[in-house]
Order: sequence, then structure tokens, then C-alpha cells
Amino acid sequence: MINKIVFENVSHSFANKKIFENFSIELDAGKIIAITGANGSGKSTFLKLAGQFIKPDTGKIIAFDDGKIIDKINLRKKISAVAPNMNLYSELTAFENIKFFVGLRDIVLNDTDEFFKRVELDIETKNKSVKNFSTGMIQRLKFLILLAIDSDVWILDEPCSNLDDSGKNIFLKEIKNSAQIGKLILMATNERDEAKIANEIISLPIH
Amino acid sequence: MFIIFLFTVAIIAAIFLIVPPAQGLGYLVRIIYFHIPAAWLSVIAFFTSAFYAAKFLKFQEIIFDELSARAAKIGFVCVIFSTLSGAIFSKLTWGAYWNWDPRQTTIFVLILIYGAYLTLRLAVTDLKIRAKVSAIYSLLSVLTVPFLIFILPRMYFSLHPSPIINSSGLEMDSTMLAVLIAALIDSTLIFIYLMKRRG
Amino acid sequence: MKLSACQFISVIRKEFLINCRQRAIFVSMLMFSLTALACISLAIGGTFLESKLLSALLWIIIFFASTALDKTFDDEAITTLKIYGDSQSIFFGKMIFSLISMTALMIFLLPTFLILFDCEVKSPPILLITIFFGICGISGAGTLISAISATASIRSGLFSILLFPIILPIFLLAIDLTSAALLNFEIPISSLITMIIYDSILILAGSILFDYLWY
Repeated sequence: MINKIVFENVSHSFANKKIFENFSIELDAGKIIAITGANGSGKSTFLKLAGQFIKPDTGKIIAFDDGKIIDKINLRKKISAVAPNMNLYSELTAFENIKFFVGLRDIVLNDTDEFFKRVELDIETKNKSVKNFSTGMIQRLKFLILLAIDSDVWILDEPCSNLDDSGKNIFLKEIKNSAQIGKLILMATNERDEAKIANEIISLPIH
Repeated sequence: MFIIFLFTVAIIAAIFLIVPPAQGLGYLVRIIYFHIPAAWLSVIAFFTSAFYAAKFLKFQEIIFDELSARAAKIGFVCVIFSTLSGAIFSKLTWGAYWNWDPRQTTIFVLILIYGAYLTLRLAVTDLKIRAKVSAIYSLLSVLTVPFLIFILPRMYFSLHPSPIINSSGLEMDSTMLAVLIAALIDSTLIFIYLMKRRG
Repeated sequence: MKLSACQFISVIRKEFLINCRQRAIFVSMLMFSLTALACISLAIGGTFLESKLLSALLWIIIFFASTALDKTFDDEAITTLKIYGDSQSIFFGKMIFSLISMTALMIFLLPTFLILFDCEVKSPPILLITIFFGICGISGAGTLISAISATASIRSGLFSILLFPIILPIFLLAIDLTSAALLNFEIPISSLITMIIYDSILILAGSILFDYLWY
């Protein structure tokens, strides 16, 4: 399991704007960590840095797996995410999308019905093409993939956007449960409901 | 800087005042003091650019990308000058501007690679991504060189004087050779100076 | 560098499914190469051509047909792919799929070319081997170049500009070999070996460099 991700004196700029300056923090597993801040304050950049999708301008970001430092390639294998810019394949059916993304993590899933129930997505939509899905359904499908992959680190960028109340409740419940079993959860959000379940809130200042 | 400048002036003076006209070529031979160093630099710059590209991928420091790009820009200018001067020299000695000699072909490929590399740099706007993809492209293009050196001479017939200059009616006397070597050293120094400036 | 069979097959299967459903991708690739072929054959139709020239024309058409590989990394779900996918399985999955589509294209293009230009092939096996290893190298380089050109904001023609210098050795060797296959000259076996070595180096380097691009 991933224990923690540590930021050491990180400075980073995005589009010629300093977002972080000498920023240090320890993100521990088993907690829901919410990142809040105004639009453009660098929430998504924070998530990308934490997942080591981008390298900070200066400083270090280190991930620990069972107390040992792991590199970004091995960290990537333990990350799953839900984010607005993560598209699915509109030409494929829901089931084919799940099978593909899960297959990328060497998981063979034959029965996905259980997951459809967990995110309350109609099982009949399983063999429907994703291009016919509403945005809320796509959001549930992305979350379904995240649950099916079941990795150590969850990176959630506004996970409840486009969801109705029942959808939000399911998501927040699943997020709480997984934090309890020791997953490292990072959630960028501006919604009160989402921030409420967080154990720790990092609020990014406006620049 | 000043020393390089003096050295360059001295070499230019030597080319015009000391170097004897070559047999059959007359004073046209002066072109080679420009042509050969330019060709030399374009090759040196090509490998320098790839070297810094590799360094960039290893250390991810943006300064290596800048150096790699600078070497490529210098190389591009040199390769253009070298091709043009070569074409003129070729017209005057062999009667045609272009004849698909292996070395002409190699330099032509070098123009293509430099051109592609610089086009890529113009087309990618994000600085960090640009550094990464141009370094990757630079390294990929280096792979073609040994193969082309092996393949091209077998495909195209050569008229080019080899290895530097001999036979084909062109005897190099010791003055010419000395000036040529000095010109090569000078051009390399200019290249090093340009690479070190501001960086 | 480890390649997982499960991931690799997932990628190829996905490419197949999408390309079967969006037939426009393959059909336009086919029509593009037919247009390139028509362009050349109509321009010089009826004239007798030397085998050297014929093989040069064939490879010019193959090169332009291969620009269809430009679309390899116009992947709808590229961000999601970057999060869940391993670089090597994506690279080899996409590369093999490119090779399959280039092969499918050649099955159509080669007979059409031979008929339109009334060629007699003296040594079919050599021709087929040459084309196979030629498109192998093009697919390998094409996959990496397509990933590079996908990062550019201005892309018109970028793929061909970047691809050509890289596959030039293959291009020259393949023309040499093809013209030998048409004439049944002594087969320049060293050209074939050089091409296979270059293919392998290209694919190996592509796979190593792709890691830097992906992570």
C-alpha cells in the first residue's frame, strides 16, 4: 500500500504564474484530503504534482510504498482517478470501456454487474454505446472504473460534478469507506458537501 | 571573444593574401575555406544538439533544452551556407549545381532533419512539452546518420574529393592545408563561443 | 521494460473495435492512397517506366499512405489512457495495430499498383518481404512520431515532415530492393539485412524514447 506522498519545498508555476512557493506537506493514506481554492488557484495542478504526472519546477515530491520510496512509473500503476478531462471512448459500450481500462491494469473482469449496482447505473446500459450516455451517467461510469481498478491512490477532481443527490451520496459513501481501509484520497473540490467528509483540508490561496 | 575575432580576421587575410590559387581552380578555391568549416560545424552542431537532448531527458533541466535548440539553430544556418557554397563550387568545378553526390545527399538529409526539428519547435507551444518532444526527436534522428553514411555512397556515385581534398586535379599544398586547419579550429571556437554566450 | 500480454491485447482489441465502428478512418486511408496512386498513374499513364522509377513511385505512394498513421495518438481518451496505461503496452499495442492497418492497406494497394502499371514481378517473395519490413519500420517510427506530433498545436503536415528523415534509410533501401525484385537482378541481400537491422533499432529506440514521452 502507498503510505504517503510528501511534498518537499515545492515551487511550481503554471502559465507564468507562481502557484506554489516553497510548499511542503505530507499527504497520508487513510484520510480524505480535500484541496479547495478558487478557480485557477492550482487545484488540478496540485493533483497532477501529487500523482507525479508533472514535475515541479523546483523541490521534490516523493511517494512511499510500504515505507519505501517508489518512482513515478510504479506510482502511476497505483493511481486511479476521476477528473473532468478524462474522456471515455464514445464508440465503445460501457462494458467495453470498463474491460479496456481495467485490462490496462492487468485485471480480467467478466462480471461487472456488481459494480453497476454499486454506482447505481442501470445494468441495461452495460451494452449501450457511451455516446448515448448523459454526463451524469458518464461520471458514474468513470467512478465505476475507479472502483473496479481498486488502486491505492485515488485522485478525484470534482468527483461529484454533474451528479444528482443520490449519485453524490453513493460517491461520498464509497470515498469514506475506502479511506477507512487505508487508501490515500486526494479530492479537489469547491462543493461544501464534498469538503464536509474530508479529514483534512488544504486550502490554496488566490494569487 | 576578442581573440577569436583576431583569429578570424587573420584567417580571412590569409585566405585572400597568402593562399596560392589552386591548379585548375584559380582563386575559386577560396570558397572551400568557407564551405568546409560550415559543413564541419553543421555536423558538430548536430551531434552537440543530440548530446544536450540526451542530457535534457536525463536531468530534465530546461537549460539543456535551450543549448540543444541553440546548437540546432547554429547548425541549420551552417548547413544552409555549406550547401549554397557547395553548390556554387560544384557548378564552377563540375558544371552542375547539384548532382546527388553522397555527401551532397547527406547534407541535404541534414537540412531535412534540422528543418523538421525546428518546425517541431515552432509547432509546440508549451515550453516543457516542447523541450521533451524535441529532445526525443533529436535523438531519434541521430539514429539515421550511421545508416545513411553506410547506405548513401552505395546508391549515389561520388565525384566528391575525399577524404578532405585530394586528387581530382586539386593538390593541397602545405599552406592551403595549414590555413584550412586553422579555419576549422577557428570555426569550432566560434561555435563554442556561441554556445557559451549567455549561458 | 516489461510488456504485459493482457494490457497489450486490451490495447489492440480496443483499436480494432473503434476502427471497426468508425469505418471512416480506414476508408479515408484507403481512398487517400488510391488518390495518390491515381494521381501518379493518370499523370504518366501509358508511358513505359523503368523498374527503378516504378519502385520509387510505389514507395512514394506508400509513404503518403502512411501519413494516415498520424491519427494514431488522436485518441479520444488520451488523458484517461495516460493515467491507466503502461507506456510499453500502449506503444506496442498501437504500433502493431498500425502495422495491421498498413498491411491491410498494402493488400489493396500493391495489386492495384501492379495492374495499373502493368508490372511483371520476377521475384514476388522478395517484393513481399521488402514491403513487410518496410512497413514494419514505418509503423514503428510512425507510432512515436504520431505521439510527438499530437503534442503540437499547429499540426498541418507536421507528421510527414518529421517522419520522412527518420524513415529515409528504409525508403532508399526499399526502393533498391523493390527494383531488384521487379527485375530479378541479384538480390542485394545486404540491403535487406541493413533494413531489418534499422527496423529493429528504430523500434527499440522508439520504445525507449516513448517512455520519456509518456511519463
